[in-house]
Amino acid sequence: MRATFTQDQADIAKTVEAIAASAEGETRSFLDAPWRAPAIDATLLSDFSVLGVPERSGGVDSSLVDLMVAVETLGRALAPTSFVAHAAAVQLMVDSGADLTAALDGSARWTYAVDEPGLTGWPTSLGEQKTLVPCLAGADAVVAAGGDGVRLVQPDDVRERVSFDPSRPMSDLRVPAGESLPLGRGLQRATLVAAAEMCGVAQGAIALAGGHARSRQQFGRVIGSFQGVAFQLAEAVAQAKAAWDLTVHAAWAVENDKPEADMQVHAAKASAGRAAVFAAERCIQVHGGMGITMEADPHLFLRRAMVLDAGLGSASWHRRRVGALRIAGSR
Amino acid sequence: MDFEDSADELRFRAEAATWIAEAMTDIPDQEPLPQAEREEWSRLWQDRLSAGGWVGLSWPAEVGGRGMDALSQAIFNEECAKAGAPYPLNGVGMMLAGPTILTHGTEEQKARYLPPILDGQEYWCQGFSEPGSGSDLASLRTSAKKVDGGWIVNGSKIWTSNAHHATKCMLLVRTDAEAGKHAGISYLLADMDKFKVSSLVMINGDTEFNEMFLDDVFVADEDVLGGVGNGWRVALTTLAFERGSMALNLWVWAREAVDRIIEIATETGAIEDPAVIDQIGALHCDAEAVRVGSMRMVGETRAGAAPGPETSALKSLWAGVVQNANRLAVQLDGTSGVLLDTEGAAARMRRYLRARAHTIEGGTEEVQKSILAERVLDLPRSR
Repeated sequence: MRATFTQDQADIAKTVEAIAASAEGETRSFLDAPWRAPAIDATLLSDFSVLGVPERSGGVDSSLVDLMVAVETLGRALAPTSFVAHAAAVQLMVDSGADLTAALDGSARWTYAVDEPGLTGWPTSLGEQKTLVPCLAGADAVVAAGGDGVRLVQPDDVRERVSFDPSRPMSDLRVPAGESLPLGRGLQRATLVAAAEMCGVAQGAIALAGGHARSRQQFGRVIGSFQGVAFQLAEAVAQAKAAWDLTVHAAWAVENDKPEADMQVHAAKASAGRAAVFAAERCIQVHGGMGITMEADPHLFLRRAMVLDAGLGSASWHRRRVGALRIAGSR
Repeated sequence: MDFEDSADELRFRAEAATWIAEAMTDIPDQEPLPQAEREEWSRLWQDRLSAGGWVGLSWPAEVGGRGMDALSQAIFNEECAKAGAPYPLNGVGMMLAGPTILTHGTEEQKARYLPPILDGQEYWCQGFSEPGSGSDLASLRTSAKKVDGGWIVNGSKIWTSNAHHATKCMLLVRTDAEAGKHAGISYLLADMDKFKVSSLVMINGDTEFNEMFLDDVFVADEDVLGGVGNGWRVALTTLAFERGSMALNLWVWAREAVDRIIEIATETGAIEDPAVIDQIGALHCDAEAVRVGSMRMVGETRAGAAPGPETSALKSLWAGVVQNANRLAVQLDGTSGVLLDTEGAAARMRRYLRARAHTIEGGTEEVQKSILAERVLDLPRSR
């Protein structure tokens, strides 16, 4: 049993962290100005699009865990990037047999359209109307998917919506008629990308809250010395660890075609959603009055957490899927 | 990142599972048995482990062990848990006392104490907690006064599992009242024949643990483990072995708790209720997180890292799953948490009550959270 990260994965995290740091502050800027892809996206798209893409799909045999590590790092930094949506779109297509070259060398930027109005989970078949499509402005193509197939399209009737997280804009669109390609484990893979980003969001919120708890003084002590403050953050730590372990393990299970991989993806998405929203809310709480101002950053984590929690199937839907599959497996 | 057993691990796991299955053919499901019967099976299981050469797996060959690594022991324990094997009656000796003596003992101490553990002839218990020293273990007050050739011990210990079967005790005492809180502690290997042991009744009716009274108990100089005044360091070793021995067990117990709730909900028909499906989903997520987290912990440990404070998150998560599953089991219908006249209902309630201990024993939930706050979040000590 060698359930440890490789040196390569540690290096990926370090490199991506440095890239994300150069976009610091941009996330907040989209509260006042329309979103556009940040400058860091050029590097991310050209250098990291092959992460998590197997050789059979035109990749360089990088493991899905590599991609999880990169995306988690972007989540921590709350990067306003389109790369995560692009990576999830690529993952939807990994088993389709289509030529992914343009997306993998970064010359084309993709995004994905999975969720449908009125549904709370993965659509069983690819419907016409899609919602919660992230970072559509400036994208070269959209990967539309449902349980029965996946399709690379130029969308019709695009309508930009008001996103709770302005640094992760959302659109509705219509999928034009056409032939679908095989989906394989595409939905599972793409959903793990969102889970990994939420694991990062949870860690970022915990780090911000921890920093505040170590420095803010009340009653003559730093507030982190009060158990009422410390224990809610400790709970957030435990949840975030659980979510990250499940996400990494699910990525391994999906890649190695393990029998319970589908259930593990659902567990990862449900746990990551819970961890991210919980950590962001605790971050607001620990910041006290400052936490409920626009000026402080905690609400930025909550925005990203909520938007990711809803997409690619809500946490509650994934949790019920876990329950149903677990019960079916025991019979 | 690889969650698969290596070829060697697979081979060992298969060997262990085969032996366990054979050794268990005449052993009934332990779950519904009264405590006295369970303890008889535990004694028998201990004897079979000794006879089969399954004690001291990770001890070096020169002291009679099998010279394997700690993971092999964890895998063996995991297979026992999966098979529902009885808890070996000298688990404390095999998993805690033996390894601690191996780490800190003199050659004479190893020669004296290890063989009877391997043979299952001497049972041990852990005399750490005191009525006034629970979570704050280092405040312990049981005193040892220097006399010619040894120490005279006075005081009392509490929550001591298996003291009613043990003849030997890992005993923490204060040998220097003037020294600092930790520096005044020594670790003794004490004979229990002068201890007064009285059992405590747990809220589920079992008498697993005890209170012990020590009145002028003599312990010889050669039975101080790790040197006078070094007891705290030796005790931390014991606690680390305690965590390690359960490295791959906790997840099995978490999974079983979820299995049981599915079984019960299927019987009662509650399994169709979307709210119950939702709760089973949530329980399974956390149970899986315990399993994966345990595998990662074992991986990190093998890569040379000491188990980090994240193990506190695992303990906390595990306790939550088992407690919540067992609560759900007695709340699935309107009466099973109230009317105990069937064997099944009584057993369910016993499990629910036993699970309340999980956030208290082995470091309370509050202690686990403090560890996370201080060592992961770098927050100041709150006590």
